[in-house]
Amino acid sequence: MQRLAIEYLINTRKRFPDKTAIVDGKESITFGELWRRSICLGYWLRTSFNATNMPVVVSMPKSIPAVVAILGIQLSGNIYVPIDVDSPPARKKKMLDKLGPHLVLESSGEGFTCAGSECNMEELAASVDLELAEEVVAAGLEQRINLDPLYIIFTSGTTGTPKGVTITNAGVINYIDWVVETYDVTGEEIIGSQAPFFFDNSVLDIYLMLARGCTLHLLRTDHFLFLPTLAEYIRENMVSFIFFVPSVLVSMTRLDLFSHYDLSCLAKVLFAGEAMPLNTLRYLRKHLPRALLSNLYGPTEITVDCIYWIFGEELEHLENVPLGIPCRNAEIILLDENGDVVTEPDTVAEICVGGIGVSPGYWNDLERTREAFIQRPAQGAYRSIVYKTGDLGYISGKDNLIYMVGRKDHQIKRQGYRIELGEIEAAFNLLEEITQSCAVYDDARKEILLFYTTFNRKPKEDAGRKARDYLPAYMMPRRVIHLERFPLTANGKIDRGALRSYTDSEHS
Amino acid sequence: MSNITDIAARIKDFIEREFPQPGAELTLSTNLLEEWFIDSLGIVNTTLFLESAFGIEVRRADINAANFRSIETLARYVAERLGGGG
Repeated sequence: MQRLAIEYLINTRKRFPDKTAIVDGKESITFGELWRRSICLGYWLRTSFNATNMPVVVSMPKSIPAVVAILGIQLSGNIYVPIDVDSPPARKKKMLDKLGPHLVLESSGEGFTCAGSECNMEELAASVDLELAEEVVAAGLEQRINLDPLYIIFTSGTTGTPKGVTITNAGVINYIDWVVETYDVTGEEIIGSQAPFFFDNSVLDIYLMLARGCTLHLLRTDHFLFLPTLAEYIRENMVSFIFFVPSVLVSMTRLDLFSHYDLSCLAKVLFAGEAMPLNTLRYLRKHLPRALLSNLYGPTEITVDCIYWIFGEELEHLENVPLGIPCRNAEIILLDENGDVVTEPDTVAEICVGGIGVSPGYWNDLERTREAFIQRPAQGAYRSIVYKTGDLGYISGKDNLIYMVGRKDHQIKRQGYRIELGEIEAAFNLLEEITQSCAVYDDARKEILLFYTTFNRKPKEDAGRKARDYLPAYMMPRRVIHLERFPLTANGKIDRGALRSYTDSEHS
Repeated sequence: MSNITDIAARIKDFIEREFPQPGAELTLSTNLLEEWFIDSLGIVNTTLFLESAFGIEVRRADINAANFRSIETLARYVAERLGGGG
């Protein structure tokens, strides 16, 4: 039985030593070479620093050396912490402070540097007996168990201090084995990786490559700037599997790239991270009739995803894009404001998640861990932890699927009515021509504002009138504003803060 | 038929409206990708703007760093697509 996530590589490098594991622009690396470099780094970290279960920050851009770092740290018996190299220094400092004792691994010319020491890969490979290094590393790993942390990924906290989400080996193994089965992933798959390594969607990319011997293409950031070059790259390299944020697919749709380029090589299109607009989904179905299209959901605190849906015939009749059903070994319960379990269908409550994928908590932050990770209500007989996502959703009485309506903090009260901004957005997303919409609440003026974009970039004059078909009067936005683009956050999600200040600047 | 100066003025107008940067000066040769923040959505929207404002089809392969470098390069591209105007 598999104990540690690194065992995926240990097995795969024996089966496919000469197969290409990763392609990054003009560079590529085989599984055999990936193993050789990772074991050298793991051996060097282990013998130089004698640390175990210590956070080791991977402070480098998305690249082959960054993957070697992620693997080498695991082999040394430590926890990797991928961070955004472009993060503002003040935010970076907050993260490092939160970690407590830690090491920082950076790439340098021929290898890596850590705590002032340099690890020259070529020199090390020449001077170290690989078998000896493997023995030393294996002896260290003997002591590790599957509940040991594998990685820490930081997520923003409402108080301004990022929270370090700790994820275990067991969580990743459970998730990856489920992905392999559910999406029938074979070694033939060619994966196009969009997510930065500090965003947990990348866990799917990296570990599918390791588990099945797939080839992983690290898609360059300029491909996402000039999306036709991305389409061209996908076509040229016969990329078959992608796990993207919906925004990228929305932009590709707006440029109609699926008509301009033959992207029929895309057999599996997965997306997660924010709401997928229904119109974009239908466009994808039309242009990729045979592809598997799947929506996934999961905050960083759950190992990548806990709810999923693979779209079938029902897509034609959907009025909203569902999150779907729980992933294997994930339990979804809905809790109301009093903390009681909601069992009635179509009743909006907070989505809470239990199961092996749930993070053991925030690194060095028991207080915030206790707030968000709670004992499952009505379960006193044994310890059973659920994570409160802060997302609001319901189980539809019509199709038994889980739908999300918005964030708990996007919930507002108006004229005594409780209103989910997400529900207003869903109504506008139903309208023809609308690609995406976002509702914000102007607290000072007690007004709901709805921003939207369209396929043809022109305002949809009757949007407000048409939306009345779906919304009660008290939910109707005071103003409906056409935008040519949404402001985005660093993670590529809609920047709601900027939208709120947009209205401030207009009023002043 | 628009000449290249008119085309450039309309593009400048669009970029200033679309990506306002208070205090910074946008010239025809400002490097849009390095000195003026234009992200992926911005490039999509600029493309769709060029298509609807000038009635041209921006070939998808032409959505690249060379054409999007500045207002000047964009205007030259539009003029070329319009059939040598300017």
